[in-house]
Amino acid sequence: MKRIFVNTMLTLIVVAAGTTIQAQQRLQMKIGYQAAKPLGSFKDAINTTSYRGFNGEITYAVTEQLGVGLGVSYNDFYQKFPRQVYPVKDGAVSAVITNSIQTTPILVKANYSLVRDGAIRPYFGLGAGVNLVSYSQYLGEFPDSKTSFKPAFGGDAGVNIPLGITKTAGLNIGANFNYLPFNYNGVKNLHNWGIHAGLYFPIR
Amino acid sequence: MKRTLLVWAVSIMTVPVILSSCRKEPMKNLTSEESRIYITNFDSTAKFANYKTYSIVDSVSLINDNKLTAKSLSNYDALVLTSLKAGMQKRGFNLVNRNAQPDLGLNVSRITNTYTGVISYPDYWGYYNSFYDPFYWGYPGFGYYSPYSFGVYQISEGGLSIDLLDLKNASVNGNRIKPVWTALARGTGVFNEANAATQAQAFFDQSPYLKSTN
Repeated sequence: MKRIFVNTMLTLIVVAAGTTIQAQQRLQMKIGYQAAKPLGSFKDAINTTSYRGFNGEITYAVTEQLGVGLGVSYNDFYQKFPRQVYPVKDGAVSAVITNSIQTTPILVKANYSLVRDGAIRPYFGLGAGVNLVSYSQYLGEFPDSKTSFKPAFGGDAGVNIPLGITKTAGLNIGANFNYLPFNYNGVKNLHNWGIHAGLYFPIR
Repeated sequence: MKRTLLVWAVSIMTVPVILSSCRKEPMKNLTSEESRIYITNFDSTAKFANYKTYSIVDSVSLINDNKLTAKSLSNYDALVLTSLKAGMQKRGFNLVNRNAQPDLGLNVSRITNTYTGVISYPDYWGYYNSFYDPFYWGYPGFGYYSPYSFGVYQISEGGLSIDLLDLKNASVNGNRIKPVWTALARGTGVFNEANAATQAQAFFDQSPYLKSTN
């Protein structure tokens, strides 16, 4: 997992370095690593931080400070609970329960940069779209699985740190919040917050 | 311009699909012990304290795809029967010969199915008479009640099934032998000798109501 992350980052740095020599571009891509932690009642199902996540974004610069586009992120949430006896109607089930949930919010986004230039460029973004959810609960080795699309809303804030001569590519660091309604098998929502770090670079 | 945007958009959308291979796979993070589940159900109208005696089958029925294929008394089967006897004794039930009109009868089956489905085994109860003739328990011509369902879990291999039957009230129940307690173990290693006693113990541990006043 770490090796994949390191290799991906190195590749992106090379790509970003190559693109910095291009002229000012309006179409920009952002891609990076993302860790996320469940919030609210989602914590009843999974209370551990997901370190298996990525995010990506393509935005078009409408103005120097405003960009609109498409963003997608992915996080794999997992937790295994020790064996326990669960009462059911007229009986009981003894099982090790594993919850495994993958969220993939795909959002139409708008990002606004608070400054036009500078070594550190704070920004915030908002988005709305759909969330591809893959839900599985295992009782022992026996799964109950469901895949569905649900509404998704998200916001993020962070800083872009330009690199290179033309300052069109650089590092991106930020925090994000995903508001993800869901309702299945007692899991009421998949709200989470996280941090991300990656690179941005022009693609056209 | 539009084409480039589309290509990049599609590319970025496929990234999560590719990255989903980074999912932590639950099945690869389970030990054999953790893979097993133990399910018990009981008849909520049964008054277990009123039963004093029980008898248990002398061998385990092997049921494959809803057909009784053999009666078995392997080391594993013997361990299961011994463990169940120990559990019943601890709960105050007295073991008697099946000809001595026991209050309860204990049937033990190893069920294997070669398909994937749900774990409720409805067909199993549909053919129950052919597996266990009520004559064996001294009730020729009687039938069985179909019990509550076990659950809705997916089948991937066989299971150990225990059925505790109300022989005492068979006549009162319209000439039908009613299961008052069922237990099922499923998962990896469920038919291993090393797990036989543990499984029986788990059944009793999660059924505190299963107790006689003897």
